[in-house]
Amino acid sequence: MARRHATTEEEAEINITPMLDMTFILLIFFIVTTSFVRPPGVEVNKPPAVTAESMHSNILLAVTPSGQIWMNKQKITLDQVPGLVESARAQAPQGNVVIIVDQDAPSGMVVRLMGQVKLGGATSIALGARPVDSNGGS
Amino acid sequence: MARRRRFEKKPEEAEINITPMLDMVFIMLIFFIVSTSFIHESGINVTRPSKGSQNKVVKESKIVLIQIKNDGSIEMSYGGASRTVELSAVRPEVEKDLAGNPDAQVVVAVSPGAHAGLMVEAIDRAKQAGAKKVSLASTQS
Repeated sequence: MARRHATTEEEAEINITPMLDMTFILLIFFIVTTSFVRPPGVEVNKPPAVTAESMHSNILLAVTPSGQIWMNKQKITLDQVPGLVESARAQAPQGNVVIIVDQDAPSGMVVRLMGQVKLGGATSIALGARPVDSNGGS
Repeated sequence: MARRRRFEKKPEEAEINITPMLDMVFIMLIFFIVSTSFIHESGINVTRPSKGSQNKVVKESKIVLIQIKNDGSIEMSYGGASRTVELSAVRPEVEKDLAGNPDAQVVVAVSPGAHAGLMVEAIDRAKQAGAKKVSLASTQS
């Protein structure tokens, strides 16, 4: 009897170990899933498409109606494209390339840009489009 | 005496103070939560004939060719016969051509001055018609 009373009194402390575990798991999840998408930096009017699908991509290029190419918030020339795509792919090897074209952009520039992107080593190239449902298409 | 006093001190418990580490972990957690974007760009996949694949000779009769001219007119040709069509007719025409030959390749050939919007819509309609792979080429470059 006397022995039971002799046990030291426990300190009133909250056990934070499970919370810490969870926090670390969350931290690791967000580190792994974060992909830094760099917006091209220009507003373009994307053409509508019924078959548009969601792309997991982080290399974005934009073509304006006047045929300018934008990437990573700056205007670039056609010759710079392969090098920039290559360095972007070095940071994100599984990244797809999406070329966001304006409805009024010249197709010749888009086709030439696709060739340059291919030179940069990109395996999958997609054209950006605005998804619409089949009856709402123009 | 001094030595004895030192020994009289209550021994400190050997515990690592994890509070600063916790602060840092929380700050990192918040940073990654805020910077994560789950927004995905939407688009349509196209293939561009590469230099390597030019060696593969595809019989011209097996290609459904959709030509887009500078003025926006669309000309389709399959098996030698070519006809000028409207944009809305691209889907039924491709469907008709694919019905006879489901493995036929669909190639969209654009003139450099044609609007890209028209090009994307033509590719979209060819895909709606059931073409699995649509290639893009330019008529002169």
